[in-house]
Amino acid sequence: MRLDFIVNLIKIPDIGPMQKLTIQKIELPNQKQDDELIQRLYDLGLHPGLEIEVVGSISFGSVTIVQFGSTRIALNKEEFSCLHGR
Amino acid sequence: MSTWALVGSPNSGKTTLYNWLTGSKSKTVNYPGSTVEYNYGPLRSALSDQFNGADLHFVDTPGIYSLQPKSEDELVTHNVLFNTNKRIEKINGVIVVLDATQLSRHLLIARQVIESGYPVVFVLTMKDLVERDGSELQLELFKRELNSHVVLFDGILGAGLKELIQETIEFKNIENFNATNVKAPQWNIDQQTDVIRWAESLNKSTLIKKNKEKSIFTLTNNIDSVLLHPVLGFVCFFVIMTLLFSSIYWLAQPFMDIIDSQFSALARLTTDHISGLPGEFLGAGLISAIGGVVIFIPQIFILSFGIAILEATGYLARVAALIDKPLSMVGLGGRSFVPLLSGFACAIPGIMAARNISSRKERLIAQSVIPFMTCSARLPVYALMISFLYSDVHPILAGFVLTLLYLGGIVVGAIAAHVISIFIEDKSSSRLMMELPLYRRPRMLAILLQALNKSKAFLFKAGPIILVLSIVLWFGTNFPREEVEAGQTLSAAQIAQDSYAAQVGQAIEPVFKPMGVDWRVGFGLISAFAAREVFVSAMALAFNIDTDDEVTRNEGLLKTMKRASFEDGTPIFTTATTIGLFLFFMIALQCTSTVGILKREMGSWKPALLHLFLSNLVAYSVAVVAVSVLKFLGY
Repeated sequence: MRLDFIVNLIKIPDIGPMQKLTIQKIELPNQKQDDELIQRLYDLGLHPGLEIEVVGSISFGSVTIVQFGSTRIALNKEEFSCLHGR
Repeated sequence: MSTWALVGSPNSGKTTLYNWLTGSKSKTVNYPGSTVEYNYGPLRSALSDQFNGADLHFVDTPGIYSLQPKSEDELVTHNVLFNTNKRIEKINGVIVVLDATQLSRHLLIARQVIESGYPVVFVLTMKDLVERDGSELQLELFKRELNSHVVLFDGILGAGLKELIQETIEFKNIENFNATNVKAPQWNIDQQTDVIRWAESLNKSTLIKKNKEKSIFTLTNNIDSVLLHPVLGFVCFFVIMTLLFSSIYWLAQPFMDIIDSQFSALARLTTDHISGLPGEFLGAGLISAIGGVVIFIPQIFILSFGIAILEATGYLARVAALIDKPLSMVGLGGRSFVPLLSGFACAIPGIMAARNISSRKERLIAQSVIPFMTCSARLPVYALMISFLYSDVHPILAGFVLTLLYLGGIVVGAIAAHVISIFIEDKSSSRLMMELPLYRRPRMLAILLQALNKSKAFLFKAGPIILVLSIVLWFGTNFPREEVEAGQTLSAAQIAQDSYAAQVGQAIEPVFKPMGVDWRVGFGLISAFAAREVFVSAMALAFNIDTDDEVTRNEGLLKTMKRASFEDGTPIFTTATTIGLFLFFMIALQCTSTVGILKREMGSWKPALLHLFLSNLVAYSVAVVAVSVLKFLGY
């Protein structure tokens, strides 16, 4: 309760509200090829049809935090650009 | 005998289970990718006795996201399971460790191990988190779906351990299992998507949310909204790091004073009660030299303790994401952060931790710049020099000077990273893909033990070298002695004048003169190649030769340093020469163990020796230029 109070006091609503995105396909933009990167995104549990929440962006906008289920992952620009959906 | 490999995703609790099984004290942290080498050990004898002397062995492996390796640490796990030439023991079975709160992802590994052909036992960890989340695990259904042995394990209390041992013992003919037919499944994207969907469905049916009011993510979300905030996140990061590095100085000071006075008293007592050469050697030589190392234990302890707390809470994974962009500007990435931070304690685990970086270029740059981070062995040197320059100022200001020196190491590392990145031809882009674990309350006892172990390792690494060095130095600075008539004695200065050390020192002095120092400091710098922290002890021993002060504790050394001068009377230690020494230690790679580990991790002597040669050349040149300029300016 006390922590909530402190958080609300200093929080700037930049990291939220969370946006939802349903992944339609996972591939690099501009027909670039990097099978290892795509495979690793699948290894992390991302796949077409999965609904993810975009929690926010950090590190001067170059890192995006996404959440799905109980997993929270930070992706850099190139990695996040592989997730296509709406 | 049967050997079981512990396999699972990063941060699933493998090392905690391994420690419970073997009694090992391997470090467990809340950061994905903390284990980069495998550990091997037998079942604890107390547990073995309870199971009629069961002969079980376990291998703790680095966390993996897939049995198709994509980084050096994942390759270690792959080799343990599938490369008979690169493992120490035949593997009879696999214990797959699954975080119960992350089942939909971790079941991917479970399915891969089942398909590999290995006998499998599944262990579900983080049961307490499932309960705190208001969920319930349908264990029987889970067992039926996997058609395998499944054990619930509590990493805090150890509940489920005996059941797991029983399961491994009951495996029929496990000793005769032929591991030559096992192989890692190679799935295409479609096959993998099918497995992920199966895992999600199994997770949904076996993990039932009973209480929607409860959530383990509330605390994590709240903390993240501050610590990952675009502005506040950086402010918190700098405050936390400044507190950590400045506390090394001001928090440790009272404890250092106690150690200092105790060793001084012991040295004085020894020289008073043991007459002649043995008393001189034990008191003024050996005890003072050992005291010169023990005195830094409080600082090493505070540094290790602070880093361990940050690791255990889960904060470090956030920092890695937060500073990905700034690090990318010098050819590194967020994943380099934890190896770099580990380098502040010791370069060796830091260089090994870089295996977690999948990009080859980024890994090579990180491994090259980690030796520039201010490791704990540099700390005694900096502390001595800061005491010399700022003996009369408030400890908090001295703490900030130390923080500046730490920042200096980072700046040197950043410049080096930028230069190295120009010479490495590799177009592969940097990878972050950093899992952000839940924040957890650190287990203080475990962290205290970790910090104590680090301090002990520091002491025992430097101890034997100092012992040998003190014998050599004492002999070198006290012999040969002129024969004198009965009743007469030679002063320490008279003995020193013609000693072996003085003869060798005068020969090497021209090399160190441009740095503004004499042969005694040069001797300390050369001794530091054995271990940097030896510099302080070597200085204590070398400067003792022309002082009547029998107490060679730090205070005595500082007094001697202030009096020390060249033959023409100009002082040796000035602001210019002290800053020159700071710069030399900041840049030079001196630790021979680090050179060895660089060779191992980079796969060749060439880059390791090049690093040794170039860093020392640059360190020497920078120190000489800085001393000349500062002297010209009147410092």
